[in-house]
Amino acid sequence: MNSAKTGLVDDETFMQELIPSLCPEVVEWERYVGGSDLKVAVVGFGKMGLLHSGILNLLIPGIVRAVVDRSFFLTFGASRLIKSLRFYRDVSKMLNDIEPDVVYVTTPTSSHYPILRDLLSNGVKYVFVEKPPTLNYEQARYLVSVKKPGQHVMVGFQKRYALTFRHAKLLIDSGVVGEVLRVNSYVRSGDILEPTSRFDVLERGVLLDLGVHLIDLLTWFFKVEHVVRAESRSVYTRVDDVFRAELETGDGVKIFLEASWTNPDYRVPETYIEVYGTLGAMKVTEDYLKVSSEVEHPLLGGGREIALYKPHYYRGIPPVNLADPEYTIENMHFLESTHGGREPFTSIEKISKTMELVDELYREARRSG
Amino acid sequence: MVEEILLGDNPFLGVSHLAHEKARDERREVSKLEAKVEVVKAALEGGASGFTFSTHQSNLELLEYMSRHYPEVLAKLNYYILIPYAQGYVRRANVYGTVGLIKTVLRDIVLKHPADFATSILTLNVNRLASLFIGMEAGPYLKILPRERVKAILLHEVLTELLMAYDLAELLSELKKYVEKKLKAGFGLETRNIGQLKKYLEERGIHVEYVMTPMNPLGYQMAPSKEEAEEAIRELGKRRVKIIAINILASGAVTLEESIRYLGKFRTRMYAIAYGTAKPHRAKENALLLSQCLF
Repeated sequence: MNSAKTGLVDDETFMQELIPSLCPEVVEWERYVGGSDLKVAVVGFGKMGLLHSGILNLLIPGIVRAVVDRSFFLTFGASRLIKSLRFYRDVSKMLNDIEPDVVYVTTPTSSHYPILRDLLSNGVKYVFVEKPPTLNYEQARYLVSVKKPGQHVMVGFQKRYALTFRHAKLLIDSGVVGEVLRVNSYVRSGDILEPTSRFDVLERGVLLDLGVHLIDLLTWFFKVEHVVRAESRSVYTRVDDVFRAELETGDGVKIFLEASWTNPDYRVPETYIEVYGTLGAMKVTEDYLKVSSEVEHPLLGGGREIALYKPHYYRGIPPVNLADPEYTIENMHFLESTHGGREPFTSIEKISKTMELVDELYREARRSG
Repeated sequence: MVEEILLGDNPFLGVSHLAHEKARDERREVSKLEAKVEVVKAALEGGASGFTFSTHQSNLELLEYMSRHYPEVLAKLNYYILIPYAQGYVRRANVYGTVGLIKTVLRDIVLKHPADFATSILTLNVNRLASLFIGMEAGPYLKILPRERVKAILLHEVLTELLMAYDLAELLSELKKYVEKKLKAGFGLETRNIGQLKKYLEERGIHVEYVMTPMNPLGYQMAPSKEEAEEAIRELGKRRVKIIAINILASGAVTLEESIRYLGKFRTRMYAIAYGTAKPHRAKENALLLSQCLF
């Protein structure tokens, strides 16, 4: 039976040498984990709250001390079941009782901004917020302006913690595909395949909820400057279910993108970026990285072609598997940042360009009708 | 000792941990029920003796179809049921929200088990409600399958990992009791954190009959590290936990031959090996090769 060919003579040695630069979180973890006595609280006990607190507790048993959720139904039910956590319905009360070092905000997007504002004004030092951090750029900018020195807000753009995308970024920066000429990209899922009014309150749909991952990666990879055109349409909701746009970098490189959450072919979301350069081409998703170049390069294992899949990257790492590995790496990164008092890789400051672009895309889509 | 080769359902559902692209191709290949039956029959011919699947609607359709048209095939297999099909619930949470999702699940339980539901609510017994959920998920399958052939009901990895993360030993024991006594099947846990699970079961003094976990030469989905996962597998196997190896090809990143060489080291500690494919010829060849080399 054929395996997924890597194009490498010895992929094990190659990956062993590559992993420390792609995933320093794993290398640092051993040093970090012994010294952690952090108290973590999670605000919002939905899907993402469960996921993050689950990963955190598997990484360091008992690190999550409290959960806040507005729903009586949920907190009452969960408190009957989970005896190791304290449950609250009010953030202030939890802050008074627990005095957490770290707070995760995993509530619906519309409530991120007021909760983050309160946490920062209450002096919480380390805050993690799920993506998108705010509804728009203005709210993100305001939060940056009220943040005191030593306070950190990390945003859950977990795609930047996926090793395929990190490897792709390294290859682009090293000029393996030469000067970038053109980029095609999409993020697609089958998450919304029936009518729902859940997003009415946001007045924004797939671009803000799912497309923001792609915008963030494109901004990180290519330093996107502006929006050339944008259009959106609704299928099951009153907001954008499909969003298509063209962006441009400072060097005039055209980037095409599509974000859709109504594609039944996609059981789970897929983020795809295709890059054409003067020396070669690259295709990257959460699952794989395929590159061909006219030049041999150490990052291609000394060859001109490479095809690496998820199992090639995640060999016995990360130390916890719950959902995709990038979620664990993201949490490790955040905990390690708190330990050294460092600004996280996806701090609210570092991702503000992403939020600015999202606003610009919506403006352009509205303008073009 | 390896006693069973199991056919897995991932390619039937469009699940590939290698690439979504591959998963979509495979699902197209077996989009018709007859195509899936061909794969099952070929696996049986090759020496597979069981089918492990999650409670996805399309598996129910397949098994109903087989019970009508191929009862002799259905009767030959052992069944290892994974509960629930987690991605289905993730999708429903996207549409209804988490609270909305829980309410719809509770409504379903009320409709299926009104008396038990009322008792659970009156006594505020959330553990009991969770058991009813397992019963509700398994119910339609247990109606179709020959009961003596349902060897185990296993909790999906997401449930297993969360049970550990929140230290829900009481719930775990309740679910085990419910599956063993009420549903009369073996109880098992699927995990991608075998090292942590081994430690947790030890600390809480819980014994489960089956543990299903990835085992492959790359160490993909083996945590907290490949070496610690291997050690945990050896230890659990020694304590007569029936280890079911899954993702043996690291989602297709290694060959079957490489995988067999690797699994050979655990031959005395494993109970079963699961593999998946959408192609009948491969279903037969792989089962043959696995049974020749590892039995």
